[in-house]
Amino acid sequence: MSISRRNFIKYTSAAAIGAGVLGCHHEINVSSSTGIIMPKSSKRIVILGGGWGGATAAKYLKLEDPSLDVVLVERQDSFISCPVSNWVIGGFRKMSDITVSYEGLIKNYGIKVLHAEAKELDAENGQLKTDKGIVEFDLLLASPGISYKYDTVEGLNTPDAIDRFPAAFKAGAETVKLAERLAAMKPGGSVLLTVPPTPYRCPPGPYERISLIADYLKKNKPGSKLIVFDSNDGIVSKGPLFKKAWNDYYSDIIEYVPDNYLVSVDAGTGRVVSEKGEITPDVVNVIPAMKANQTAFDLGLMDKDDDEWVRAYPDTFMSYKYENVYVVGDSTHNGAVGGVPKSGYVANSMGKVAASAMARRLNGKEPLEPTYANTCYSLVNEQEGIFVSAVYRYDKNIKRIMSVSGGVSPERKALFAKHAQNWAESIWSDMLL
Amino acid sequence: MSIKKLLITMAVAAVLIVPAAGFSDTIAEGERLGKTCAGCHGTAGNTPGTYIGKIGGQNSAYMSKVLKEFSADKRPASVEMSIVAKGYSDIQLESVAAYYASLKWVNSDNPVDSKKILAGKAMASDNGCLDCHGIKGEGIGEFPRIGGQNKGYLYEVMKRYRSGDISSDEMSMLSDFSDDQLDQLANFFSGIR
Ligand SMILES: Cc1cc2nc3c(=O)[nH]c(=O)nc-3n(C[C@H](O)[C@H](O)[C@H](O)COP(=O)(O)OP(=O)(O)OC[C@H]3O[C@@H](n4cnc5c(N)ncnc54)[C@H](O)[C@@H]3O)c2cc1C
Ligand code: HEC
Ligand code: HEC
Repeated sequence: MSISRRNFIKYTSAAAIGAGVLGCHHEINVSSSTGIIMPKSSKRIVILGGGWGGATAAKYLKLEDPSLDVVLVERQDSFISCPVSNWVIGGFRKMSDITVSYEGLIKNYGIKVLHAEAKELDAENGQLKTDKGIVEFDLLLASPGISYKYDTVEGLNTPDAIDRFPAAFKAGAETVKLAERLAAMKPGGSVLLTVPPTPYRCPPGPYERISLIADYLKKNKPGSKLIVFDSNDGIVSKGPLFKKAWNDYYSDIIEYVPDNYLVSVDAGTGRVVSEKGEITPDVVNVIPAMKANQTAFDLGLMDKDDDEWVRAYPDTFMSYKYENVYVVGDSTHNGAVGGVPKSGYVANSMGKVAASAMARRLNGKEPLEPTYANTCYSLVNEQEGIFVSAVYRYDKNIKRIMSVSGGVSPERKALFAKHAQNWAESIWSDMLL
Repeated sequence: MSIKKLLITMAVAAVLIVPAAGFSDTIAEGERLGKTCAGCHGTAGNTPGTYIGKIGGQNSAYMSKVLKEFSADKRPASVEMSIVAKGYSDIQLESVAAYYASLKWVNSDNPVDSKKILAGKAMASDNGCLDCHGIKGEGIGEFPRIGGQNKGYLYEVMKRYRSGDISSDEMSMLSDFSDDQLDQLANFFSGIR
């Protein structure tokens, strides 16, 4: 996609109004003739998205080559972690516990953080158009995350329905809304959670949430029920471990219905219709089907017309579509990269691989052989955790990521819950400090 | 200088140089392989939190040994590490150990209790801990560094020596320590700054 001359001009006048770079203490000049902000004076890599993939890549680019000019474009003021956000919904963590500022990247590594909305891409001319101005790049890395496919459920794609049936699979206002609804519910009430079809971000995420909502109801709302409609024909990840915890702790609370698609919702009455029946619960958490973030579509990163995820080569994460654009994280296409889960840990690994490949490319070096890993901890109640772990390698023959070793925790343990908390602190620091 | 002596000198120099070049390759390889460890151990193995051990600046021989033992299921109580270490060959684990050992150790900032530190300190000198682990717990030879290590990790690993989950002749003396005593030792060693 290229930006037309007309767009450039239209955009310039808007940009002049609200340009602002947090942590970049000098004024940004918006050139009135080109709309370019922060003109490029050395080799520059722009990162779109300061989430798990993007923040990691920004930091590791600077570790790899401090002379690179790294600009991180992110719409949110601070990083809010999806991992551990289920603990907020479970009532034993606060939003401030999962919020980390971007100051560390600015102060410790000299990364320029531009709080702006990326709108369009002119890959040929190395320009990313944002609502604050045009940013030039030698290489761009996008890690924009996911969007919800609200239109797959009748009645869901309206502001009222989105408000009444929050997804809370992007941490932030949606998380708070769901936690508040649970807190406001009367004892003896009913909660419905719907699990989307795969592929969605964080395979065990919905099941950790089911466990922690049940834990919350058990402690705070006696007599309440949690009904689960799962689009899949069984628990997608760590099934036996979740099942055992539900049997041991929540058999009178959780009613799990597998293989049951959500058909329609009614924002006015709160009625929810599934393939196997309809109900009108007090609180509803609809986790919709997912696709790559809308930004990836708007930027024209899809290789084929009906693609819903971005194809990239997993040895460097260069996109199929543009040689100077790299893509990592949840928005990548599993058929192209291989069988890795859409997790924060994997996005962190991918960000490091891409950072190394990009820095080496700008310095005229061949990429190194990549390495990747994953671990997803989940809590089954406030005290006990379980996990799944894997180490991956790049298979040169099939040009995809392959698993080398992997496994799940044999049982739930309090120590794993402590490791889960410490894992989060470690990986947040690896991304942002 | 006679030719013979010169040749010997050159041979000695070559012996010294070859491993040096090999060593930096090993470290680069360890860095490449070990980048993913940071997800749980923090950047450069400077692990925040408390229940996961710091590995940046820990000694290489010790880490090589334990990583290979994780991979061979000889330390099954370390459940995560038993899975993770199987993702690498023994030679790869040695390079990862060499890489993390080459980094700077940063002491833990875990909160510690001054009363427990006093009790722990007395026990440490009575039991010869410092003879093997060093006067500041900095590690000697293949004996691991424990001074400035994260407190929760120290406590958990000592419980494993006590129960025999990790078998170690040197550490078998912990078998009759109480939970409180281990906690005091953990506070003392973690609190060394
Ligand atoms: C409830 C829950 C629990 C989870 N638990 C775990 C877990 O325990 N372990 C684990 O490994 N993973 C977990 N995950 C998954 C993890 O959160 C994701 O895999 C991870 O966030 C993916 O990183 P990313 O960089 O692809 O996307 P994100 O982290 O979502 O980052 C995308 C960023 O891009 C920004 N952005 C997008 N478009 C634009 C634009 N146009 N302009 C400017 N900025 C833009 C967004 O604001 C966002 O900050 C969990 C997810 C959820 C929802
Ligand atoms: C899923 C999280 C996770 C990952 C990934 C991980 N570790 Fe660990 N590691 C742990 C935990 C937890 C402990 C300590 C607790 C235990 O033993 O169970 C530990 C302990 C260790 C120890 C023992 C420390 C000591 O003082 O004896 C070493 C060495 C180590 N890890 C090295 C590594 C290396 C090298 C990698 C990457 C190849 C790695 N770890 C990846 C979680 C992880
Ligand atoms: C005879 C030498 C010796 C003495 C004395 C000794 N240790 Fe050790 N210690 C070792 C060795 C060797 C290991 C590594 C064993 C293994 O392979 O797990 C070790 C391991 C440890 C570890 C685990 C380190 C890690 O990173 O996982 C801790 C903690 C520890 N010792 C504490 C102590 C304390 C406390 C004392 C005194 C009460 C003590 N040690 C006395 C030799 C000794």
